[in-house]
Amino acid sequence: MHIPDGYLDMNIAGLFYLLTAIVLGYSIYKIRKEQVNWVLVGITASAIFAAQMLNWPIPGGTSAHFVGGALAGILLGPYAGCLAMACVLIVQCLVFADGGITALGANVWNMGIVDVFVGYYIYKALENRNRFLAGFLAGWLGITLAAIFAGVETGLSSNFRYSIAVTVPVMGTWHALLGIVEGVITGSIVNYIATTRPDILKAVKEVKVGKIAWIALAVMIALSPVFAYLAELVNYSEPLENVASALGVSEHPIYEGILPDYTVPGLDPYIGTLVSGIVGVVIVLAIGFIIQRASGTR
Amino acid sequence: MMEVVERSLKSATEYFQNFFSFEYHRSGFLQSVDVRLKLLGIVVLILATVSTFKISKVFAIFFSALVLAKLSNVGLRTLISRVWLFTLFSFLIVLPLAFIEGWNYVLAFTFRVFTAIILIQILVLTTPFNELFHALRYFKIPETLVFALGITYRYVYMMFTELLRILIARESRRLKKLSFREIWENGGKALGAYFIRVFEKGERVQMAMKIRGDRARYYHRSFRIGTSEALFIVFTTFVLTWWLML
Repeated sequence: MHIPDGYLDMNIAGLFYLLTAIVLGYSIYKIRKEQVNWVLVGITASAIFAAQMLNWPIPGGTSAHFVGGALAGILLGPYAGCLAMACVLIVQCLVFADGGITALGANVWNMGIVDVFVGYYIYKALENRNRFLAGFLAGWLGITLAAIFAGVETGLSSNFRYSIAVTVPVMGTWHALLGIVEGVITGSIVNYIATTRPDILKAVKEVKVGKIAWIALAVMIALSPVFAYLAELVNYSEPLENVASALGVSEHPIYEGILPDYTVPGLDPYIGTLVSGIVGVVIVLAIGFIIQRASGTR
Repeated sequence: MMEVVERSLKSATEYFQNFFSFEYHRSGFLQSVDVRLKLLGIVVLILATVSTFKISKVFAIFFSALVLAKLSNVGLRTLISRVWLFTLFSFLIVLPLAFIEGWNYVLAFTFRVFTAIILIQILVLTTPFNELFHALRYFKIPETLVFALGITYRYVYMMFTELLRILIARESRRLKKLSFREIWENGGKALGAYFIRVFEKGERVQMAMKIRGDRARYYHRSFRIGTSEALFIVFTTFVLTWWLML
């Protein structure tokens, strides 16, 4: 999943350097504030590096390897886990040329931020239900989402001529399958540590979704119509619609849906899209709230 | 216990033992250039490589990279042995596009990746990793990140051998061929034990550092432009001008 130099457009690479710098910078701030043992972070990073070299046999004669982002998040907490994975990826880039210098921001974003934070929160939401399952889902979903991000980054880059309609399904599907290996390994390790040395997992300071996260979420929701406007400004259209138009294929839905094509029948299309967006946000938040309540965590 | 798992780690350990023994070898032109300037120069050349699809422009950078490698006593065989796999991988990924975008795109794309990886390898083969840390600190990369990077690099080989020892200890007690399920169960437990050892090691190292009373700190030399640095600046400027003119 390491993206080499030459795959990403400079604007995409720059954007992900910026996003990574913000999250990694905040993580380092938190680590300093909480006086986390950074020696342990470095040694765990080197251990994950070594564990990545193991090839695990899969029935059928092939094998897959472990990435370890979710595990880093679970063992060290999301901030220290993020730093550990950033160390792994920087050493891999600067020592082994695995992953490009220009793509380093995107690689750390995918495997050091998305994988770690998603893995951590999934695990925390489910750890009281079934520890192995929590570790499995953390590993599986973390790596699958990281791969989807890699697909988005390469798909949006004009240097890499496969469109996003190809890169995202390919990366997502393959890693959803290979991610089973990641999930089983993460689940097994976490389960073993939880039964043998539970103090290690208990020592991780729980990170709750705080005010800043809620404010960031609110700002993103408030700004989302701007992206719709910008998309129209640059004449953006869905890649699949382009393909359909090129092939002369037209749409014949078997079910129109409650809000067909993100509009409300009878309303102005722009207001309809806005209403659809609000409905979508409310549904997602409601589902999240139900999962949170069901898992017994706050 | 698990032949595939053990074999892969054994070969990786041998590879890294070999890698760390032979990294940064010999003296030469780039070895004498200040690491901060060298890092900047190589990044600029990589940016120039990946900013174009014009074969002549990429070739200009590629040729310059070969000149730098020759002046720095980095063998072509060493370079090729370190870049062929990533290059082949990139070629195979874009190969289907030969029928849509044409061969020019496929070849230019692969050549760009190949040249960029060669440049990184030249940097790696002519620079001790510790000096890269000094350069990162000079460029105001946070101290915590640079310290953690230093620890990661220093302990990688030890962690490899630690993991290999655990796997060999289990393998030496195996009496029958195991099923996939057993391999995975045993492998999970082995890795769990490994990470517990990692935590214990991390705590011990941190305590040892505290006992010594030392505080990790990277010092960097004051920056000065000597003959090598001046030549490197002239060389890079010449290459970039050539690149612009093509």
